[in-house]
Amino acid sequence: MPKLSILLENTHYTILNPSLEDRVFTGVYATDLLSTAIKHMKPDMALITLISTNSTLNLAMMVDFNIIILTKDAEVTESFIHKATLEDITLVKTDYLTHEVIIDLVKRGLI
Amino acid sequence: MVKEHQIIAGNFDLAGRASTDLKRLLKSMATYPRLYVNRVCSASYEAEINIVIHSVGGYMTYEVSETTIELNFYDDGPGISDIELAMKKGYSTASQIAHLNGFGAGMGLNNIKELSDRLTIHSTPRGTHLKMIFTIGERDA
Repeated sequence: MPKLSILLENTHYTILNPSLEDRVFTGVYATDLLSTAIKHMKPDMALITLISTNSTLNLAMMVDFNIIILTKDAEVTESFIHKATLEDITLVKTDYLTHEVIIDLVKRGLI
Repeated sequence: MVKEHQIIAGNFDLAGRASTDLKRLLKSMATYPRLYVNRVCSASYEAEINIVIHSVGGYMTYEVSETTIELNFYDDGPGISDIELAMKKGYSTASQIAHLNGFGAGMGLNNIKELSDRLTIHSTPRGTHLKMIFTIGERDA
């Protein structure tokens, strides 16, 4: 399974709340409509999204995933990072657009 | 075990409290399959968000037993004028703030129906009641 540490080898990604342990993900799902994520995401996937609100974190808790990749233009507040840290959810910020993240992950064989 | 949670209309910061509490409880019990817990809590979260977006406020109750989980969501209106239409994918009356929070695409009720094993909806202008029953099945394995 792909590791977070390998994802971060590309400098276009920055981890916002580092944790001591590395993480793995079973795949990715990209959407800005959280209802589609509720319907289609499986546990331990990573979510690629522009939405950086409490709703995104709640979704992660309901569906059981702990990596959120926030794409270019996502506005991230300190309180959002704080809540994510409390809930043990790793936030990764990137300057890539959604499709560029997916292209990068495919090119590097991570998905 | 029966518990009740208030749900406040229009408050996206507090939206998800009830479902998060339910999730923590079910995880701590370590009785149910992970996919079953996720299914119950995802449906709960959708219903909770629906009350936040569309109603003047309400509450949810959950009843957890060994073989089934029952969720009830009640709000104080204004009700769903056409339930059949509201169940259609893509039909939405949600506000801009709901969209900014990633919801309001017209999938909520449909998701709830697919995630639950039994769903009943009663709605009048004075309020709506959603009742969901979940039993562990093949899709939870």
